[in-house]
Amino acid sequence: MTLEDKLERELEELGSTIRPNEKLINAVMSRIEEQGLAKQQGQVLLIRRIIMNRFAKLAAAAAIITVAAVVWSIFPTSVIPAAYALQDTIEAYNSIRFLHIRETESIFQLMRTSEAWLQCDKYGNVTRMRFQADWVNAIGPLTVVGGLDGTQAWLKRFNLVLQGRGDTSVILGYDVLQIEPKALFERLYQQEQAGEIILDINEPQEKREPIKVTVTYPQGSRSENWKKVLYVDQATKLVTKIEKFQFGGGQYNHVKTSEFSDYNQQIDPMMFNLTGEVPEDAKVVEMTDSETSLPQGDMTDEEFAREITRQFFEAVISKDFYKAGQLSLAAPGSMIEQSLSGANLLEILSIGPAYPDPDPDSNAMICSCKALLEFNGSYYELDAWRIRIVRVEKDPNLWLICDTDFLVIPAPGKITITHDNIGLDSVTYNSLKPGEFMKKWLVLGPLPYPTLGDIDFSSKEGQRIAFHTDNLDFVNFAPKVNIDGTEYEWAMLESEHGIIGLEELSEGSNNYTIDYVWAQIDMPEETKGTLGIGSDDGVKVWLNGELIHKNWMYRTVGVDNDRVPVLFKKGRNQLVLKIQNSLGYSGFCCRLLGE
Amino acid sequence: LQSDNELVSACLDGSKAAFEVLVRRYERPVRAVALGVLGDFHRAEDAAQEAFIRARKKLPGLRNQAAFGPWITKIAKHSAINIARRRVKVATQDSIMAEVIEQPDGRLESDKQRLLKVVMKLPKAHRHLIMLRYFSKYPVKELARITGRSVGTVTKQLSRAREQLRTQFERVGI
Repeated sequence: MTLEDKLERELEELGSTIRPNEKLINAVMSRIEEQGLAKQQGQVLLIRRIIMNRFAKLAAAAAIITVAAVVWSIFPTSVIPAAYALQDTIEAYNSIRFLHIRETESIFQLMRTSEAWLQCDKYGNVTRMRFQADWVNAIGPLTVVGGLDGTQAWLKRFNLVLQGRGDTSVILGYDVLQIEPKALFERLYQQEQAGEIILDINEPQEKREPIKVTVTYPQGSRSENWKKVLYVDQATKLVTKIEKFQFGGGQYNHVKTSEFSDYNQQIDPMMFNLTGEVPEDAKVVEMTDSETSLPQGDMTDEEFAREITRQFFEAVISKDFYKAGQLSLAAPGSMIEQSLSGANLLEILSIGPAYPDPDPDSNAMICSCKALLEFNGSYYELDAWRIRIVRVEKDPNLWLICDTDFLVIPAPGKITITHDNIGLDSVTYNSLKPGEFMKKWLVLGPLPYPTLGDIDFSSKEGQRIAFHTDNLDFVNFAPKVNIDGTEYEWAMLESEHGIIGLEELSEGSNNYTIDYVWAQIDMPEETKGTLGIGSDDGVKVWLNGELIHKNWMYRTVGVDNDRVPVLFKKGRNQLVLKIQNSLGYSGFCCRLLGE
Repeated sequence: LQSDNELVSACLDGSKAAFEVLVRRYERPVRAVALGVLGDFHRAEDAAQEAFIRARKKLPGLRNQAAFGPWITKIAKHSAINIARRRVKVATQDSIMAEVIEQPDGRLESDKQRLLKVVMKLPKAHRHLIMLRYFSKYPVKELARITGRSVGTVTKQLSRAREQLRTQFERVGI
């Protein structure tokens, strides 16, 4: 049988599996009847016909429109054809003098909030502003005030005030234009004209309901997985809320919500300066644009973003904090030094590729860097997994680092893996000494997440299911295991350090993987104690086949992250851990802590 | 046999019968889409029902009436995803597993599930024809009538769609 025939037959068979369902058809039709959906269309119809016949004789159309207008006035709930355009909102902002904005941002499971207050001129352009955030990466609480004549940023954690002349948008890479609604609509308007966005405007019949403007981005563009929904008040045409989403795992996930309120409610002028808020002993540093960053020369944006990243980390390693500060946020060197809290950066381990930030509101380039760090005699890996690098507005040839998301994890020791003569004997502990890490394990992995229809395992639901799915016998060890039709073999792992990095076991990416580790413990007598377990990310623990602990978490390995009460029986005990990794590093540590 | 375009127009004129014809025409493709997401016949039926009700409500907003088929399958996919999400939310962590992974009854065999997945990955127009041809069991002549295209065009598109499926098959080694 040819492949074509086989395909034809399989398609026929698949089609026949889904038999006609008369019950379903009846159920649908009776629900439509119940909800009166067929009837409801009468009023809509009139307008539709006007649209459909617009190329018919003009006089006839005009007559129908007149009739429609009359019908409309009698039935105020009938549909109004969408008449809203972005320009309406841009114009509406010309009458705005004051405005309050509240933003909520989702970063993994965390929510970060910030607020801004804007004062505008008679053209609706921002003249004074105040921005405050409860937490900004590597900076802590931040307040920025200022206007066209200059800006001040108050960094409480550093007891530092940065002062800059000129526009607020250049200080600390903070861009007021990203939150200012008029500028935002002007940009949307330009993007629409240039065909860079897809707009869907939904203007509800009910006047109290907001107009919903949904912005999506064409396939192939850098923001193709993003979506923005703007809610516009029908009466005033001012925006009340903007929601931003990023697609992943089969659904749109919340990124940020901005709520706009208190339109034209006078803001106390004291809000726009820092008088009385900053302690007298705070250090005040003048910032000048001219000294910041490096010139791009003829490097591409990608090359230049990597170069800035490299030079920044090299400057920190050689303790040239002044230069590091100039490259990052155009901040004073003392601030960079202070943010290291006594840690020493020793070596760059790798610099990732650079690419344009997919966030539709960002003009930044993104890069990443891993470096070795020493702190109090211990070694750690600094994983700056998202470094945002922005162009300095006043000089397009200059860029600087404006924001860094990073993790610090203990640097794992050397690991030896063997594949021969795998059995529990090689990982049998004769009792466990409290406080000592278990460094010998059998390991099965990294295993891919189990397959599950169309549910994407990078989604929260997918990850949760992967965490709860186990197809393993936790009592009787077998050197080979068949999971989802694939055969896997256990291997023997021996680690130099107590913290065991599992990413070394992966040949490629170890994102979205699972590892099981198994050890056998001979106890001379029944022993009660506590296991100290660290994991990156989620962990499940079985003792003699019984699930004694589970923690579904996104985290890095820490010594004794979880303390698990345990009762070892006399004789042989089987201890199995499952480590689920979502993104990046993966690892674990385990030790007995005593009773 | 009326085209989708004609049927949607008739629906908007208040014809309940026209919508019933559309439901009959698409209930199997719609269930197939939901099945592709949920992997479970019973829940796919719930999703299909929800999709048709939503489609009926939103029908006046459908700009290209001839595109009813791809449109309703898109709604079906969203309904199915919503149902999958809802279940995950209400179920306890352990029962989700039982529900989604371990329950053997009412589920599509794995090779068919794989084939369905490949079909779902086809471009919109091709997927639409494959579904009407193999799930709704329409002969080519009627497909041409439904989609408002010539028999030649439909034959060519179907053959291209099968070609793509075959390439996919070879790629994933089904």
